[in-house]
Amino acid sequence: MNRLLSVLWLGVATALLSAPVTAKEEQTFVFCFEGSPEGFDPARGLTTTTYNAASDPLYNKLLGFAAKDLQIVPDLAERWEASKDGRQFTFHLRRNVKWHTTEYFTPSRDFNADDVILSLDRLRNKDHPFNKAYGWSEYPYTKTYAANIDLIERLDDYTVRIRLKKTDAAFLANLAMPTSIIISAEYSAKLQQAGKLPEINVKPIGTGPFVFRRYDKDALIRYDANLSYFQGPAKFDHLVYVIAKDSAVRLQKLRAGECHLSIAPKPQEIAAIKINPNLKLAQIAGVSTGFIAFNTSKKPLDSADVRRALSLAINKKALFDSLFQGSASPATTLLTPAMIGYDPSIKGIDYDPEQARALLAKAGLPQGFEIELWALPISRNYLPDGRKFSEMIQADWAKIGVKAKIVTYEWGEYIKRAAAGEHQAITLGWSSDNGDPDNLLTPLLSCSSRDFALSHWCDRNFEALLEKGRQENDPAKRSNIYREISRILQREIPILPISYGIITQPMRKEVEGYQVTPLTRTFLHGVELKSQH
Amino acid sequence: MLSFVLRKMGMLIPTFLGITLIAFFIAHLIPGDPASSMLGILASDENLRLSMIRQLGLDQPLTVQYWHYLSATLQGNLGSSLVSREPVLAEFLRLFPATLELTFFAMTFALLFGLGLGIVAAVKRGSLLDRSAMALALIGYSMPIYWWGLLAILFFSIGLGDWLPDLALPVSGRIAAEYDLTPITGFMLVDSLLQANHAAFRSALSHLLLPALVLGTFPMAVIARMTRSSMLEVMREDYVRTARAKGLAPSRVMLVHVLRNALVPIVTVVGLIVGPLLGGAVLTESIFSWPGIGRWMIEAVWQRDYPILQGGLLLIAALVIFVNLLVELLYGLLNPRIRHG
Amino acid sequence: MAYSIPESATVENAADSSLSDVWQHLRHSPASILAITYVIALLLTALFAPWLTLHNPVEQFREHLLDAPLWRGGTLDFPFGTDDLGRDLLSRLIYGSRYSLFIGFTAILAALLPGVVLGMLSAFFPRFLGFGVMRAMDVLLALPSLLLTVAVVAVLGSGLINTIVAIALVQLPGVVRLTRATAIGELAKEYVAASRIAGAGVLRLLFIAVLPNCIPPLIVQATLGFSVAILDAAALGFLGLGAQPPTPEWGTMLASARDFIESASWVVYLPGLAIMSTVLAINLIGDGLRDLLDPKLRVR
Repeated sequence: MNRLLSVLWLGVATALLSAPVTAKEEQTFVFCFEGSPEGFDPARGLTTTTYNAASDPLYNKLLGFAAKDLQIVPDLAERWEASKDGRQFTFHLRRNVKWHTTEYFTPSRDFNADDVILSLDRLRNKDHPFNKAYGWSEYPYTKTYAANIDLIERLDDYTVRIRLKKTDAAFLANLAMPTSIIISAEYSAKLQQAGKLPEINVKPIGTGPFVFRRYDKDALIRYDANLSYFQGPAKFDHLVYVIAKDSAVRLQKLRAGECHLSIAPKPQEIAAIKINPNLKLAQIAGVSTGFIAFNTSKKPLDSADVRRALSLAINKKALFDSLFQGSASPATTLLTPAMIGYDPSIKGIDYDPEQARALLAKAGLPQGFEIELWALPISRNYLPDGRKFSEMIQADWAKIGVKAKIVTYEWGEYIKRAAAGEHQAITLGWSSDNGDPDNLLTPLLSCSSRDFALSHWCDRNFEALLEKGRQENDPAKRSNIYREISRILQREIPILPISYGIITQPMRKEVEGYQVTPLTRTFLHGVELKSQH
Repeated sequence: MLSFVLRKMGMLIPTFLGITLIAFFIAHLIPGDPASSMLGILASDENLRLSMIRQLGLDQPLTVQYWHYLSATLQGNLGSSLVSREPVLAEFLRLFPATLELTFFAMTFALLFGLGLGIVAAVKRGSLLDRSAMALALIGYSMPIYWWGLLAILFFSIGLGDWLPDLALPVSGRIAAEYDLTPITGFMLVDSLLQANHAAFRSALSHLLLPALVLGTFPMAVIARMTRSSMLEVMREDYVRTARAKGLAPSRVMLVHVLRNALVPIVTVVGLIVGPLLGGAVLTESIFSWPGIGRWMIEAVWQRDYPILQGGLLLIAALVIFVNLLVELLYGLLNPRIRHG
Repeated sequence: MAYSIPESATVENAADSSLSDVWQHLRHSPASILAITYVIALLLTALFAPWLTLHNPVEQFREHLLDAPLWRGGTLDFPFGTDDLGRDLLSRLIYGSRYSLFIGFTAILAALLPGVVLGMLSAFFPRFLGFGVMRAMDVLLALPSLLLTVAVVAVLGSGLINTIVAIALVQLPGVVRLTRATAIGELAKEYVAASRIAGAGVLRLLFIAVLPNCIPPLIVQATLGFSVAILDAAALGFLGLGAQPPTPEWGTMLASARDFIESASWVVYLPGLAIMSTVLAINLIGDGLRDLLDPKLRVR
């Protein structure tokens, strides 16, 4: 017996020792990112920072956008039918889509209609038990379109029918927004039972290409590749978002090979990236507009003449030559050239400081006045250097007697205070989430908008036009409505458009298969690292 | 000795209370009310705001509020971050090891080079060596830390990156992003060794070098100057001359008598340097994106996250007081005159 | 950022030094002479800044963004080059000296006046007032100086005045402790006891007997405090909490310079050099002063 045992042990030992150590070297993709996410439930998020960091890796939506041309494509809904009156949609859901398995959750079933119903219900119903347990019901960009949902029917496990109260031409596009994520009903129920539903915002579960691992606040986010992703697993094992708020640091790290992809470089860095043999640049015209919004509820910005004077005083040409250096193009209207209703015949506001001074005198302010100008603290494709931009505007306005004090806050704080309406003139921008003009115009300029009505401007005729635009399904008629809107905005100037963003993302030469999208999204699923560095 | 210790500890209590007062008032001195800050975007809802005020107890008299604040603090409840909703104390404990690791290495560098420079300068008093050592110390004493940090990055990361890429030091962070170490102690060097990941250890070490050098420059300069003057003073003393007259070898004199006695004020200086070191850590951590409490505090200022400001200041002040107490006790131990003075 | 004097220290002081002593000392130290010359030159440029600069420091020359300085192929128009908004760097540095010196002086003054008073009162009335004041100073000292300035600015808001208040607050404990220590040393002397017996009033004692002897160590403290003030003000500017753009404060100039560390390094090293050389010069002077008063000044 003893001999048998020793032979057995010997055998085991040999087997163990001679087992080939084929530990495959794991690949980590490092993305040098510009800021910290507000949380991991992007439905609550206000900024593209949150969408890039939390929505794109973790979640899917019912529908998506084709990377290049913003056509609506299937995501979790394989196919769909719309009724003739445009008020009823039937979605056929994809099968065999797995929810993430993590150390805090193991799903017992695949994705199905129940998840869709919960995800949409929580958006449209403030008093839904989910929201009550969550302690949160303000979903900034989704609640308006979701509130238009009359009825959601569960036809079977994989079919959902949605009926709308009024026609919404942008409904499908809205379903593809990064805030319209589909969350797990099972996970939510489990958390709700334990009384810990708010944890959804820190320990997320989705169906997306990457699984949440860890978030080191303001430092990095760790994801693992989702091996059972329905489009196949990602081509690398781990994904790390390194949070580097300084664009110079991002570039330094990219050059040193400490990260593979970066975002939002400053214009002066682009030249250096182009000549660097290890780096390459991906660029595409975005659907984002940078602007200065005037808070018309604060004097003297309630006067259209004053707003026009401030606009006339800005030397746009000098601004673009010196500041933007090709990283953005001059804007004439709020709508970008790619959007429906863009009117190329509308010219931007000229540079005319004489007329500016005359207008100020006409408004009773010949000596000028003092104003607070809020400077964008973070680098954005429509405005890569907010501080510098504000200092140039400050100098331009000084020439007509307007003394501007530059104020800025940390990005999250900036947005919060802007939403609270503390500003006078604020530099900001809008990155369209779905390429639809309503997505841009309603939050910014609608009478009923709460969070982002930066101009606090309400015009009943304008409001009626907005409503018409939302409901008009015929593209030609819709386009005319938005052209009319642009003309009104050109006259009143509650918001002065400055620039159209060009999305620029630098990356290492080893990165293959990365597709920049005009929507400022980051889709890393198909990306590959060619050679090890 | 015991009465000395008790007396010193007794003096801490009013100091600690004073700090809690300052921390308490920070929340109330910041413009805007704390309820609005907490609610953020929902603050426009007046009912919600009022109920929040009641919930936070802000409608009660200040003395009552302070009492609640004090008792909560003593129980370890320092509130939660407005941004991450994580308890302040937990965040502090999570981030503190990073700062500790950095300051420890900075202090080691400062002691090694500071003592070395100071001793050499004292021994070779008046020579070129002495003068250059002191010039170096003076420069280190006068240089703005963040400028030095930027230059260091320029030379050792970017510059070397262009010329000698293999030697180039990393730009920021504690460790390369590929290494996912489970935080056991919070010290990267220790954790990497505990998990037998040698590549991670090397990465962590290379990330530590530059920030420690930058942070340690000012203390090094102070220690160098202090060592030199302290040694020179002791060397002038009678008992040293007596030892020399008795025929003891100069080096033995130096080591045994001079250095040991010169160390006394140096110990004091090392203790008192904790404050400036933590202050310097704020700037160093900003430059190198080092995820420690310095950067945590600065982000809190930017994000108007006042619970972190309050709690962080309290904890850091408590730390400094504690270290100062240790130093005073040590000093008392080494110098009997102080104990009874 | 200088280390503070332990509370248990006492200071003893002897007769004043004479002017010839000063001159003797200086003669043997070329470094001190250089430092004094530099500081005087700086004071003069700060005073006569508008006449010495070629351009307005906040004017943006949009055609001349990031122009190189003279030694890198620049023109005499902008001898030190321009920054990323086309502002002349030389003018900004010169005007920046105004801010640094102004902040330094005002902060030190704002610390000295209440500090001396508090220190002397603590020495005279050690039981309640003294105890209370020293504990309050302990509280201020418990917070690392940079964090204290950051906290004050976080509460009061950023800007020049608040920067001065914050820095003065940080300097206060050092002044109080030093004054108190010196005063205690003086009070122990026989002539003070004699004056008291003769019936001299407290105020008379304070200002005529004790105060003059506090001045030498206070001068040294003020000089070193001055350099600390400049560094702290620049640190606040660097963190974006001090003087706001377009104010040409040296630290604020460094804040935005990080982006140009490679492409236009002069924007980084020139303001830093300005800060460092000023602080260096003042430290040298402070050292010289301390050496001068050293044989007569001993911190036990």
